[in-house]
Formats: sequence, C-alpha cells, structure tokens
Amino acid sequence: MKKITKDRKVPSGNFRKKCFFIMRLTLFFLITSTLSLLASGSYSQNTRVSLNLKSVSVKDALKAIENSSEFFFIYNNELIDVNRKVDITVKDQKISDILSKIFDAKDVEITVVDRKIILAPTSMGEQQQGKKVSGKVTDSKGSSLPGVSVILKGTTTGVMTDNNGSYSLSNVFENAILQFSFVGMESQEILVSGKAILNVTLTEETVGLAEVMVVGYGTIKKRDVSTSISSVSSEELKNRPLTNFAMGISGLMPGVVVQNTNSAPGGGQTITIRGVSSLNASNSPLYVVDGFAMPDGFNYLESPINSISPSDIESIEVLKDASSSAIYGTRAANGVILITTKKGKSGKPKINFSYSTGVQSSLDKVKMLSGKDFLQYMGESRDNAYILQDPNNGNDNPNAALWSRTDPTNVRIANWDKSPTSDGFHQMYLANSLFNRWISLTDTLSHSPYNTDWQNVLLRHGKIRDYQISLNGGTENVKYYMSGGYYKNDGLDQVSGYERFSLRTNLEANVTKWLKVGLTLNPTLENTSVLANSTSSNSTTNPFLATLGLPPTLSPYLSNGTPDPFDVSINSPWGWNFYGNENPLLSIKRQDKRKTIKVFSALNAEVKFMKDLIWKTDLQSQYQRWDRSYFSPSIIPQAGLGYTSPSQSAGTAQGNDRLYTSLTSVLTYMKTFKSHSLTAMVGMSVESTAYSSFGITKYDFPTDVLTTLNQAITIKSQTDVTTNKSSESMMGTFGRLMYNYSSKYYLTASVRRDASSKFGSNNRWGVFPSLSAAWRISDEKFFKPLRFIANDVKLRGGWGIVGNAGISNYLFSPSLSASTYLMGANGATASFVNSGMPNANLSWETSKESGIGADFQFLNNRIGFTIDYYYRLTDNMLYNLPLLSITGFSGTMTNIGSMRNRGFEYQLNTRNLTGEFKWSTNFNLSYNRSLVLSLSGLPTDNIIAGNNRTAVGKPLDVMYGGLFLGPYKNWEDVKTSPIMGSTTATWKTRSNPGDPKFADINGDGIIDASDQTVLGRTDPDYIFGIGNTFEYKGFDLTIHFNGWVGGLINAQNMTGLFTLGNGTQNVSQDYFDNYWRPDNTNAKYAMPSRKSFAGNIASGMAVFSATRYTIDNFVFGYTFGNKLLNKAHLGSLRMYLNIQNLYQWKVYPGYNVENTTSSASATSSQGSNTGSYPTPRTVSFGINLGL
Amino acid sequence: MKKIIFVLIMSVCLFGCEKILTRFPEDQLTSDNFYTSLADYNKGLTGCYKTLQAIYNDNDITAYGEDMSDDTREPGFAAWSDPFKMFLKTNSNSISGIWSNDYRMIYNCNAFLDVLTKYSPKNAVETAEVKAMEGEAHFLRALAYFNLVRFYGDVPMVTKTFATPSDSYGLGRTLVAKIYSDVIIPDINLAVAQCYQKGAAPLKGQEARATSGAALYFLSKAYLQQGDYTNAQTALKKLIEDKQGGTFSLMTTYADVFDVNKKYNAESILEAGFSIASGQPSNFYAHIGVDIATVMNVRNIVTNTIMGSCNLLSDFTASGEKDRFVATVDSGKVSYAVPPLQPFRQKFAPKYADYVKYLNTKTDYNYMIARYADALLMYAECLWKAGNNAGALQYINQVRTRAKMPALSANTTIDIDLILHERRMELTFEGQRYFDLVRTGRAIAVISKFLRTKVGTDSPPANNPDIAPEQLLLPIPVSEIQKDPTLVQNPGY
Repeated sequence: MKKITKDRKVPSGNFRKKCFFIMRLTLFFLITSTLSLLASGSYSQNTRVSLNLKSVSVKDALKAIENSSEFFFIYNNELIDVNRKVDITVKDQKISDILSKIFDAKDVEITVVDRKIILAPTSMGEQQQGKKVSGKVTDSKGSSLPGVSVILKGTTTGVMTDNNGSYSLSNVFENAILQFSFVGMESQEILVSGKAILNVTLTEETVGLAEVMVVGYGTIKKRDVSTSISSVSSEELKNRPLTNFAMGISGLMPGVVVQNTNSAPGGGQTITIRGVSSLNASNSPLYVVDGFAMPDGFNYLESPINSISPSDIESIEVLKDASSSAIYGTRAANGVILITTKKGKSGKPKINFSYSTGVQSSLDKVKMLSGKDFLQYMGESRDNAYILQDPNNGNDNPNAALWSRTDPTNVRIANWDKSPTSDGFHQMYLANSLFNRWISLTDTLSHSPYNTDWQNVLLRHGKIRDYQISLNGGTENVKYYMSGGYYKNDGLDQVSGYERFSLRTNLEANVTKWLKVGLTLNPTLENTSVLANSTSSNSTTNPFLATLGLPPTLSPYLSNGTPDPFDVSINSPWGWNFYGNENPLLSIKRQDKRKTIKVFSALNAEVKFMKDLIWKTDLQSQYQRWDRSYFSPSIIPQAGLGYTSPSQSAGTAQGNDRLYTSLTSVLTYMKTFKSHSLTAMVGMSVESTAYSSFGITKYDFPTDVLTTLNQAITIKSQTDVTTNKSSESMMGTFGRLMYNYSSKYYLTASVRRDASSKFGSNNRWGVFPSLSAAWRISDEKFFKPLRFIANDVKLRGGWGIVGNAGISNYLFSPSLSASTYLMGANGATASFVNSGMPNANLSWETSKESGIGADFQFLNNRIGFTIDYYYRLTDNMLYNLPLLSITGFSGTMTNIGSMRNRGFEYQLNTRNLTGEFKWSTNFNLSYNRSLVLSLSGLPTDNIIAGNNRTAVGKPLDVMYGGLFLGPYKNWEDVKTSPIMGSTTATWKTRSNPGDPKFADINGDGIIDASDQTVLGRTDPDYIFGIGNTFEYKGFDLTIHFNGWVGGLINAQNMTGLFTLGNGTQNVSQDYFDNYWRPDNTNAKYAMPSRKSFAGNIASGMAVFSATRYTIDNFVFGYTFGNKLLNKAHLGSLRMYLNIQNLYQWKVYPGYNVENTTSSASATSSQGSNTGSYPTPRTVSFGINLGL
Repeated sequence: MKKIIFVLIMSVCLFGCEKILTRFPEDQLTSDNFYTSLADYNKGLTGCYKTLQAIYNDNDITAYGEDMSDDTREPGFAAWSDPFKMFLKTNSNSISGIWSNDYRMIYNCNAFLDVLTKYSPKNAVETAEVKAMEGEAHFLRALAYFNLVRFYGDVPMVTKTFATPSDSYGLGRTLVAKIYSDVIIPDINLAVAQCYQKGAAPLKGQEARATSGAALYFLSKAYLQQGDYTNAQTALKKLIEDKQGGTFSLMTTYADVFDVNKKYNAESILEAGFSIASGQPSNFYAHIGVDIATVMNVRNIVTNTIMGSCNLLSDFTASGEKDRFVATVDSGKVSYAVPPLQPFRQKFAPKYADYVKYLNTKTDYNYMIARYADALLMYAECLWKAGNNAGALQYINQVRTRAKMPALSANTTIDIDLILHERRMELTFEGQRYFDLVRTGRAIAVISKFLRTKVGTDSPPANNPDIAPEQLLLPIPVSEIQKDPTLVQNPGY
C-alpha cells in the first residue's frame, strides 16, 4: 500500500501523528456504518487469535490474521519486508504477542489503534536516521520561487519554499525522492542520493497550465485539443461567486449566448450555442455532468441545472462544434455543456466552508409618470380622443374646420352626439353616463390626494443567503468529496422565493490494482414560490405590468386598510376610465408553490485490463419529482363580472415524476510509442426515461384560508383531473480515434450510430461521423525564427454531423384521443377520435458543421488568442407543419427545409502584468448569422408566427410587423401619406395629425396588415465580454463587462405603456416627454388617445433595440496569507464583496431586456419580451474558509 | 478470476436490445388495433358526434349565424351597427372556427367510415347497427358540408382521409351545387335509408344519435336552401305525414322544448349534448346577451357574444306578440341586473338564473340543432308554394297556438313575409333567421334596412348603403389561404 499525497500546504510535523490523523478521518467518513464509533482499544486487548502457519510469507501471515479476526493492517510494502518467510504457531494469543513473533521490534514499529494495526519501519520514527536536506528552488531565469511545494515522495511530509525560494526538510533517507511542484511549472522528482543540498530549477510548462480538459467520454490535455471547446476552470469560477450555473459561463465564452428568460429566484435561462438552428425541435444544448448526460436541457421558466450547487462545480466545458459534439449523436445538435464537479484529492482532509449573504434590488425602476404629469397625460389623451372622433365634423372635406381642443365639455358632448359615426357608444348619451369623463378630465381623478408609486408597492429588496460546506480528501486508494449546501433567495417582490438544499458525495475507490469504482450521490430539494402570472404576457394579470400601468392617482388601499379591488363596476367613476389592471396587493394573494426533488445517483466501474486498455462502465439514474400547488382565492375580483363579485376560487395540484436511467460502457486504449500517441475508444450507451404526471383542478373553496383541494367543491370539466404517462429511450454505439504525432499533428475521427424511440422503425437509426485535425505549426523548424513572438501556434479544422431529436414522443404513431360525449339518456359515454396525423417517416434533424480555427500563444504565453469560424448547415428541420383544416388537424411534425448558421468567434487572454501586481484580461467576441435556405415541404416560402417571420433567404425568426414612422406631423403630412386601413378610405375617417403613421410597404396607398414587413433580426449583431482581474498581495479585483449589440426586442403587450398611450393606464416619462402635441409636431411618438386609432397595425410599435452593456460581475476579495493562517491553524481564508449586475446601459425601457418567452421550440418566440421579472442587482459579501 | 467474473458481469451490460426502442403511447390507444367489437365502433361514432359540441359552441355557428341576421348584434364590436364591417379586414377577423370544426367532423366521419368497412357483422342485429352507424357518419358529414356551403359558398370537397399533408394541397374549391349533388344529398339519402327511426329500440339511451327523421329534416332543409320546394315537400311529407322517420310531435308547452330535464323530447330532431356533471357544460347561456335592456334604459354588462337587437323586439311588439315573447323568450327576473328586472332568453337559460353561478359552472342545456316546429313551418312554406293555402295554415297554426298565439283565420293570405315572420318569432335565436333570409332572397333588403333603421336607442347611420351581395358569405379563413394559395378568397374580401 502506497501513500502519495501532494499537499503544498502541509506544514512539516510528526509524520506518524499525521498519518494516523488522515487515516482516522478517512475511515471515519468512509466506513462509519460498518466500523461504529463504539469500538475502542479494548478490542486488541481482549481478542485472542490462533494460527498455525508453516513457511508462509509475512504478507500471507498478516492476511491470515485479518481473516481470523477483525484486525487489518496498514503498511507500505516498500518499507516493510513482507516477502520474508516465517513459521507461526500460536494458540489464543494476544495480537501484540503474535506480531512480536513476526517482526523484530528493532525494525518495525507496531501501533495498534482499535482494529487497525499500523506497521512502520522503526527508523522512520527516529530523527537521527534520516538526514537534513535543504536547497533553493529557482525558475529558468534564476529568480527564486517562493511557495513551491516540496514533498517527500510516498509520504505526506513536505514543506513550502520560503520567500527566498529556500526549503529545508529533515529526516530524509538516502534513497528518498523529493517532488517539487508549482503552479505553472513542470513538476520534478529528484532522487536525494544522500545529498544534503539540492538546488532545483523548475521550468515553465510549455503551454499555459497543463490542464486536462473534459471531452466527450474522456479527457484530453488542453494543449492537445483539436476542436472548438471553451472552458471555464475552477480558478475562474472562484472569481465569479455564482447564484446560478448560467452565470458561470455568461459572457466568458464566445459563441455562447446566455439569456435570463426568467430572473425570478430559481428561474430558468436560455442558453444557445452558435445560434438558434431549429424551428420546432429543441434548441437547448445537452448537459453532461461528470460524464452523465442530463435528460433535459434548460427550461425557460425553471432551471433543471439549479440542482447542482454552483460551488460544487470544478469546471465547465462547452463543446461548440460538431466535430467535438458528434460523439453525443442525436442530442448534440445544439452543442454540449460538460460540467465537472469537484472530486476528492488524496491527502489531508480539507474542509471548506463558504458563506455569502447579499441583498437584491431591481436593476431598473421604470420611470413612469407621477401625479401631475399623469393628469396632464390623461387630459391630453381625452382631448385627442375627442379630436379623433370626427375631426372634420362629418364632412368628407379635408379642409373643414376641426373640432377644437379648447372646446368645453358641453360643446364636446354636443358635438359628439351629432357625430354620425358614434360607434355605438350609445350608453354615453344616457342620463348619469360617464361619457363626459371619457372626453374630459372632470371627475374626482383631478382631486385625487394620492400619488402612488406602484412599483414600490410590489417590489422590495431581495435577500440571498448561501451556505456551503464541503469536505474532500482521501488516500491514494479512496478519495472523497462531500458537500452540503443551503441556498435561499427571497425575490424582489413579496412572494417570489427559492430555496435549495443540496448534498453531494463523490467517491472514488481503487478496489484492486485493476478495478476502480466511483459513486456519486446528489440529492436536492428545491422549493420555489412563484409570483403568479409574473411570466404571463397578459398585461391585465401580470403584476409587474400592472405596477407600470396603474394610475398613480389611485390608492392601493381602501379606507379600511384592505387592498382596493378597483371595483370598476357601472357606478364607479373608474369603470369607464382605466384599464382593468389588478391591484398587485391582490395579485400576491395567489399562491403558486413548486417543489422539486431530484436524486442523482451514479455508479461506475473501471477495469484496467492492461496498462493501456481501460474499460469503464457507468450506470446512473436520475429521479425527479416536481409538484406544484396553486391557489387563487375568491377575494380577487373577477373580470367580466363587472369586478363587483368575488371570483371563483380555484386550486390546482400538479405533479410529475421522471425516472431517467442510463448505462454507458466505454473501452479505451491509449498507447504512446516514440512520438506517436494514440487513443482509441469504442462504447455504447442505452438511456431510457419514464414520465408520469397528474393534475387536478377544483373550484369553490368554502374559505380562502384552507387551500387544500379536499376543501373545494366543484370539478368543472373532464380535463380538470388527469394522469398521464409516457416514456422514451435512446441507444447508441460510438467509437473514436485520436492520434497525434509528437503533439504536432493531430487527427481525430469519431462516429456514432444512434437510435431514438421518438421515431418510427423506418427512420430510427442515424449515423453521426466527425473528423478533426490540428497542426502545431509552431513546432515546425521553419517557424523557429518567429517563436520569440508566437511561442505556440496551432491550426485546427473539423467537420461533423450531429442530430436533433428534441421533439415530443410518439409523433410517428397513430393514436386515439379519448373523451366522452353525451349520447343520450345513458349520459356520458366514451368517445374516440384520431388524435393527429401521424408521420411514420419522421426523422432526425441533422446539422453538418465545418469549422476552422487557430490558437496562438504570444510572448511566452503572455498573450493567448483563439479565432474560430464555423459554418453549420441544418437539414430536415423538425417543424410542426400547420395543416389545412380539411385534413382534420391543425399541424403535424415534419422534416422540412434547411438553414445555415455561420460566424466568427474570437477570444483573447492577456497577462498584462505578472509581477507582484498582477493584471490579466480576457476578451471575447462572437457573432452569428443565420439564413433560411429552403422551406421545401411547405406550400409557401415563409412562416408567420406571432410577430415573427421565417422566410427563405432571410435570417431565422426575424421580427415582423408594421414599420412605425412616427406620428403624422400635420395635416399636410396626413394628406400626402397613404391611407390607414381600407375601411377609412374617406376623409372623415382619415388619420389625424399625431396618429401613428406606418410605412405603406406594398405601395397600394392603403396601410393595412398586408404592409407588415420585416423589421429586423432578433439575434444580436455580436456579443462580447471583457473581464479584468487585478491581484496584489492577496487582494484581487475582477470586473466583468458584457455586451449585446444589435438585434430587436418586441414588447407588444407594453405598447400602451411605452409608445402609444391609450388614456387608460400610466405611461413612461420618456413617452410623455416625446409624444406628439400641437406644439411638438416633430415628435418621436404618436399622441395618446382614449379612443383607439382607426385601422392601426400596432404590432411594430413597441420594437426596441436589444443592445445592452452590462457590468455583470464585480468582485473585490482578499485572501489571507499563509503566515496568518498558520497562526490561526487555518488552511485558507478569503473574503469578498461581489456585485452582480452592477450597472446596465440599455435602450429598452422595461424592466428586463432579455428575451423572456424563449422556449426550446424557438420559432416565433425569439426576441419577444413580455415584461417579466426585473433583472436583480445583487450585492453580496462572502467568506470562504478552509480548514 | 475475480477480474474475469467482473468483466463478465460488465459484459452483460453490453447486450442492448433494440426492443427498448419500440415505444408506443402508454396513456393513449392507437387506431391500428383498437376497433374490434361493435361496442368499440360505437365509441368511434361517439367521437364523430362529439364534434357537434365544438361546432355548436357559444361563439362560432351559434353566434355568427345570429350576428349576420337582423335578430342580434355583437356588443363586443364597436362596429356593431354594421355586422358585416367586422369581416372586412380578413387578416384579423376571419372566422376560422366554423371552417375548422366542420372539417374536423368531416375528417372524423371519413376516418370512422374507413375503419367501419373492416368490420363484418355477425348477425342481422349487427348488420342493422353497422348500417345505422354508416348512415349516421354520412349524415354528420353532410351536416358539416351543409354548414360550410351556407357560410362560405364553394368549399374544398374531402370525402376521404389524407395520408400525407401534401395530398391535401391544391384541391381548390368545389362549386356549391356539386357539394350538394355529390356529398350532401347522397349522404343524407343514405342516412334516410339506413338510420334508425326516432324511438327505435337500439336508440334507447343513445337518443342523441341521428335518426332517419333527422335525415329527412335536413334533406328538406338542403333542398329548400337550394330553392327546390318540390323535393323539400316530398321529404317533409315523409317526415310529417308518413312518419317515416318515427313519431315527432310538438311539446305542449313551448318552454318544455328546451327544458334541461326534457332532453331528446318528442319535438327534438337533433341536439348537441352538454352536461355539467360530465365536465362538458354548455357555454352558450353565458354568451347570450340581455336583449331589451337598452329599450328599458338599463346599461348591461357588455360581455356577451350575441345580443338581441331592438329590431327583433320591435317585431314582437309591433305585431302584438308580447304573449309569444313571454312564452318563447322572456325568462323573468335576473338578480344581478340593475334594476333587477331584466328580460332574458327563455331558450337554453334557466329561469331566475343566478348569473354568477352559471357564469362559473356554465349550464346543462343541450343545443337544439333541429326541432319539429321548424319542420312544420318548412312544410307549411312548401304547401303554400304549391298553392295549398289551407294546408299551410294548418301547420302554421299548430305552431302559433302552442306559442300562446291565436290561430290565423282560414282566409289569411300567406306570403313569404308572413312565413318569415312566423319563423322569426318561433325560432328566435335558433340559427335559422339568417339562412331563411338568404334562401328567400330577402337578406340584402332586410338586413340593409335593419342597418339603417333607428329603433330604441340603436342609432345606426341612416345613410348606410346596402350591404354587398358578397357579404352574405363569410371570408375563407386567411390562414387557410396562406397555407394553400389554390383556395381563392370569396369576392369582396
């Protein structure tokens, strides 16, 4: 049994004690279940052993003792001679007596600790036997290297070099080996050979850090990567205290776009790699954690990756191109994100404790109108409505006199009454009608004592607390990492919240020389409280939109202190005046709680047949249970009932569970001979997932206090109670060959054959090959003259095909949907109809990607630069083809057309200052351009869905709508412009100055829906990130800056708030300051009006540039030095201040500029913003403590 | 040794089997293997009928059929005074529900007929049942086409299911006359021959199934819609005098026809079934508006899809038919109204309804698609057209007296206006008025006049021009034209 532990920070000390300490701890954590703490030293005193052995080796004798007792031995067979033959015949003797017969006390020191017996050479305990060795460690330039770890090989004994690079180790044997290691330097092992002085020169590692990178089903030296992979190491993650996983890669990798689709606590993100390429199949990358594929990608409302505590993450790699991801076959079409969690490292157990606490506030409050301005706006919007009604007094004469804005109320009413096109607002003529309020600001509104800031009513400061404790360590044969965490985030509103309890155990054990097993357990519990409707696009119920739209002249409370339900019934003066926004104080009474339990467990075994041939099998299961309980109390007034009545209380219980199991088996052969290095791998994988779900909705709860469904009375519809079940499976076989010649020429080829149960037997299997090559040109002779500038240059190229099967199950199969119908007196009986048009030929969506790239290291690794270009062609796009109604169905999933994405990615890392004051910068920039090449299979050449359009020859999913040209400036402008709407062809119904003016795209003189046009792309022109890190004497400062340039965002449901006031809700200050007025005809925005504009096509009126620049991460930290730590007996200590989303500059006026409705099926939802959860700014303080 | 065992154990893992890739829905049946017994086919047929719930829902046929007539108006539209205005902008306002639901029923019937041919009856009873099922599927298909041609004119003719989406493109529109002659009339004739009669033993408990009586009713209606009074009269004679479709009769009390406890009564010819308890409540009631609220200067809550017009009410009052109004339309007080007295629809509406309760739960009322009183009035019309004034009066009076109206005297001169008036009063809000106006050629005149006439507080512009003839048809849903450009839009849209 050999013990090799590397630990730079091990202070020299008594070896034996150290040894015992480690063993105890190790054993304590590993086998507490079998070796209870009850055991005491009495075992060795009381136990008697009998043996009768003739001419056996010491080793066998010890084994015999182990077999006949509970003792076990710990020794190093290089130090203890166990091959010596002995004879032992004892009967019922104490263990100490037996051992004294086997070993000479002069040679071997025996220590018995309970059932453990440690055999050590006596000499080790004796100071005078070893010699003192000392020396100095320098770098290649001769400068001394402080902090180099010097370890006696095979032990945990070691020291660090001091400030002069000197070290001194006592008690070193003649034939001992010293290991010298230092970050960034090649490690060295030197035989002492009895020398007393050993001076060592360490050389720098040739390419940066000799980091190992994770690739599909294996690892590779970072230096040897021949494909496009971006990675974030634990070192970089350290400077980014994460609230969620996506933060860990946001802005750090070119080509990777992270969008916080829902910034609510526990909310989800959308991650797209190298552009969106699928119309209706998944656009989410594949997540692989420690080699285990996760069954799902990102959910845009709740993140499935949330269950991994960010502090457990060691590194993140993103396989961006097909040549690296094709090994994952059908699930890799959108790239692969590999997450590696922390593993145990042999050596002294390390306990790390981290704690952080922070406050959150909304990054932006939207500047809406307050009191006086609001009244002015209301007055103007009513004036405008009056003017709009009939500007020409019914004459079809463009020059007829207008009704005047100065007309008093009675004139207005009289005028309106005369108007022949009064649009049926006949009620307004009646006695007690609210008509006059509608056209003039005469009601109690103007006397309102309130000036409510509704955003303050709903928003509050959020809170974050994060506790994490982890333990790692191990022996050479058993390594462990264990962690437990608790994270809690109270959101920015009074309801939202998220908490997570997580545990993780990563265990690795070398069972025998040829067998290694590993175990991972990761149970998590997440509780999420959601502000109901906060992600809804419905501007009436979404509380965030309500806070923007509610008039400041209203009070949130009734005089009795309860929330005002804004009774807009007939007799309320507000009824005719305001938009039906719900009081947010009532909205928060809805309960929407979710609970997710996830248990991830994996077992793997690795068999080493020979030195070079390893067979690894992974077995994993992931169980996930998601529950939701929702309750909507009756106190919230119901729209449609005149808001006078309480609403019908409703409760929903929902749950689904998923069991994912997979088996992966990989055989790897690695051989290096001379300059040839070869890695061959073959493997197979089988995955299967079973889903089940239920949902119940009941109505009419006797009170709003008890919300469990047993209380409710009514079930309304057959579909109110459901359970469902489904399952899917996948299977794949794959192989890969990696070859390199003296790290100069690289060639990698892989192929995977995959099948998915989502396709019918006709098209189940797909083959996904890949090829990549690289050339380290800098190692060529002819490059030598340039090497002083560029010390390492590698050219890469790759090609690959990947598949996409991210669609629903069973679409190939004809199925019946069950229901019931009332066929007569017998009541409801079962009914069946075909539920869809099956497509037996359904098959993969395939992406062929070619890419080239180059990696440069300049000026002795001070500057690193990477450039990539890719071209990805997506074929057989999975698309839910809208069917003609005559087929009986609305759509069927089909493979149609093709598109391409191509782009450049640049990454630059520089170490600007390397002395005591260190400064490093990383910069990345990328852009992607998509183009739809064909939509063959569709009868038309474009798809219009919502506000988006996908057409041949255009980028995917471009924004579509009316092109707003600003308001009509004056009558001259109206007369010379095309007519708005075909129904308003006569002058009397023509647009007015101040009305919104749209472009007449088809030039027919009439502006209508047929004039909708492409307004622009929804994806950015380019994205970039810049990070700077400064370090000085333990202090470190990191500032990261993130940019998204170009692209459009559509907030159509906020048109009334930001770009076209409707006189029924509040508007932004920006709109108020810039809308058309008779004295401001050259305005940016159209005038507000209580009456809607004739024939407007407002779909293009709330389109904004999505450009934003964000200082998304700021960390200022201090790491305590060793001197202080040693005094305090601490391993490490770091304190930091972190600000996430310190500042954002954006054009978009709302809370959150991100694309908030993006789902896995992207078509029609790109660039759409429905105004959900505000982006939080988080200021937190944290401490990391290592023991 | 251990190593070998371990390797062997691990090797087991390598024996993957393609079987695990074969997955079929676990919570759904597949149409390939479901239909074996006649009971299974009955469930498939029930699926065809279920589409009636979608077709006769609260805001498609039942709403637009009314809104296009002079009986109701749509309060939700600011342009209420011109019900046709709402269809002008076809991109946003075309009505696709009528189109897609009727074609859905056509698909379901076609698919059902496909599988039905695979069944061989084992005895005479089964033979009769299979024939009846076949007849009913044809009947429902004909009903769907009848709805389509009346709303849209020429429509694509689909009599089989499509194997792939591409088969469905490029069909274009088939002339109305051809739809009648190739689908509607043959389908209904098959149904007349093969369906059970009303009250037949196999229909016990399944009264919602179409009878040969229902087929005769729609046969006559289809002929009448084409102006073929002779054939219509022949069919109606078989229904009314020869009782070939079984026995139908008028209910003694008008309100009983729609009584929630008297579904499938003697007067009922075809109903779409709804029930709260089965989770299939009717939304219709919640969407019918308060009718004469405006006459009484009471503001109503504008949440309804259709609302009775003052024009209709003036017809009741002007012709002295207030008693008939009470018997057929008025349902008395409604508690939520301000003031609480407010007339409400008799049909499909519970008396003294608690509005809130029914808005939440919806109602149990079936939708009456066809009833005997309509058949009698159609027969009267045919007889009058054939010169049999006395015969016509006999049937008109049957209907009038049941509605608490005095019988017309024997020397009353019948004209088309009288017939239309009787039909309007008897069949108010039952989806007949508009098609009656169209088939009698009165639609443009009557509706245009309605759009210009001020009654009560309705104040439409007096100078509204006549509606254009093409406005009598709805535009084909634009989304369909976008999918298949061979579908040419109706003129004027």
